[in-house]
Amino acid sequence: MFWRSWKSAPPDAGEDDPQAEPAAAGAEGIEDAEDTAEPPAFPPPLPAQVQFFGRPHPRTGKPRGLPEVDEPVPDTVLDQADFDGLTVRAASIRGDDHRWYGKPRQDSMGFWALPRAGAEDVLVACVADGVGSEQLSHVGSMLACRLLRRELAAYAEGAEGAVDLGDDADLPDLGQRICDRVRLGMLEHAEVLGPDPRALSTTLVGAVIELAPPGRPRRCVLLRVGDSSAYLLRDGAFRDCLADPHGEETIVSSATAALPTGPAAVEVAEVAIGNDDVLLLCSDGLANPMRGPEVQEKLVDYWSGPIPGALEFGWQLSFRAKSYGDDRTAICVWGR
Amino acid sequence: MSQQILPFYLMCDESSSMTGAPIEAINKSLPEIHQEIGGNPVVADKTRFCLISFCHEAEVLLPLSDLSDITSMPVLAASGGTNYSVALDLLRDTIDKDVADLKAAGHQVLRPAVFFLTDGQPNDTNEWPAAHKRITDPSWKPRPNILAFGFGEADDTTIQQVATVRAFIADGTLGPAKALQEFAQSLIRSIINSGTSADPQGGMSLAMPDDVPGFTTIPADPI
Repeated sequence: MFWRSWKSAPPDAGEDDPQAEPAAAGAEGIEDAEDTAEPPAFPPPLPAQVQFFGRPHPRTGKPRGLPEVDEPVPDTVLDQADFDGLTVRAASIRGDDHRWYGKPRQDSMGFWALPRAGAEDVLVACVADGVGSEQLSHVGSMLACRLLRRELAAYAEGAEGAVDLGDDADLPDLGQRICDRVRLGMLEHAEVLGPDPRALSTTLVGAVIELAPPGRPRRCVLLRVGDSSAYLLRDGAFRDCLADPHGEETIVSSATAALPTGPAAVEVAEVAIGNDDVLLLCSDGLANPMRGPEVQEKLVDYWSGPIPGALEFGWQLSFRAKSYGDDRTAICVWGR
Repeated sequence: MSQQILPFYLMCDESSSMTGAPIEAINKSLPEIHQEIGGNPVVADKTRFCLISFCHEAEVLLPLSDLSDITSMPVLAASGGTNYSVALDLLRDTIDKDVADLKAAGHQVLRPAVFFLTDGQPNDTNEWPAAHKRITDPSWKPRPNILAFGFGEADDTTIQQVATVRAFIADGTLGPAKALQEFAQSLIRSIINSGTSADPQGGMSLAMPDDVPGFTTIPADPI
């Protein structure tokens, strides 16, 4: 009965259930069968407390009320997939600031395997960060992810043939055209719903990755509007795949390009994901704390060993770092 | 641990004309600022607060601090004349040192915000514009955004010249004590709203009050 605690009512392990594991010490060598000590508690799968960096305010992280939104926006989304030679772990976590003020998570993410005509499937992954001050930016970021998938799927299946990953010269043009269509799709949506298009403002970073068989590096095309980021973790260090949007400013600025109304300068890059490389797509809720060495080193540590499970990945991203209360979203793609 | 930080500087006139109700109102407001900002986890972690008082001399009464870390606020005492040059020079030196310290600690620093409060005309009429130029020099990277508040004997033109982004002049509808309470509330709201990532581009930046009860908003007109 589920409301009984484990300690007061241990399951009848080993009698009827062939799946049941024996007690932790195993059946052998237990001499004191009359030991009346309570059975060992199951260890929690993860530490109860998340990792802290700096000394965040004691009230940080209290979730308080629910956001006032028409459609539910979960506080946290975890997702995962395994392909032949590629593993994906993803989490989108509401920031402590939004939890304190009862606002919805404004980041969104998604990933899909898309068929290509006459070629291997591709994995499309994207992260969008709704612009903070706008009422419907959580809708805008979801919309940008869906539209990116739609446009890339249409392109891959279209009469012109597969997603064109083959011709470097055309990549910037392709990225621009895809993002233009995303922008137009968002403007159409705004027209139907009535909000000012600016209310949907969001950044977008996406990756198109060959789902090629293992054994050789997979090609990956990145595209971006705004200040979300893409890194490659290789040999114990993160490399920025796209130019750092804020760089080494004396006084930092949070200004960013955004869809659908901002300057739609699309950046495009190509990387190869080798075995043991990790591609990271993330919102600035992760990229900003990663500017300090403590967080970066911890992530290198987490992601350079065995690939974490989805829950563990979510826990790793749930760290609290003083002054960084923004929504935090990351998709990691491991090459194996 | 690297943090992103928006520093606020309250520059407060404590010349002898502030004696009585005005200085009492400020001293009553400082603990409220402490409580409101220090108790807010979203805002306290991202903002820092510094208090500089000035008369014919200037002093850093509270060095740039995390308001959730301190236990009490200093107290102002009115005396002496009004010298803007020493105040602005001390402000420039303080910001220079604070930004350098924050950067050296690995923090990301946003453009500092200054709330400049005065009740009278400066005695150093000829000197202060040069000090003001130094603090608004476009080649000086940490130059702050300045909001200026005037009441009592302060005149519109001077307040407009001190401000770089927005100026407020008491319109006489409230007594000095009440007007200064409103000033303190506008400072609290500005810090809270700034620390709540409500910037049009999606990040943290200075959220300025549009209107403050008891004050008329006038455009900044820096020298």
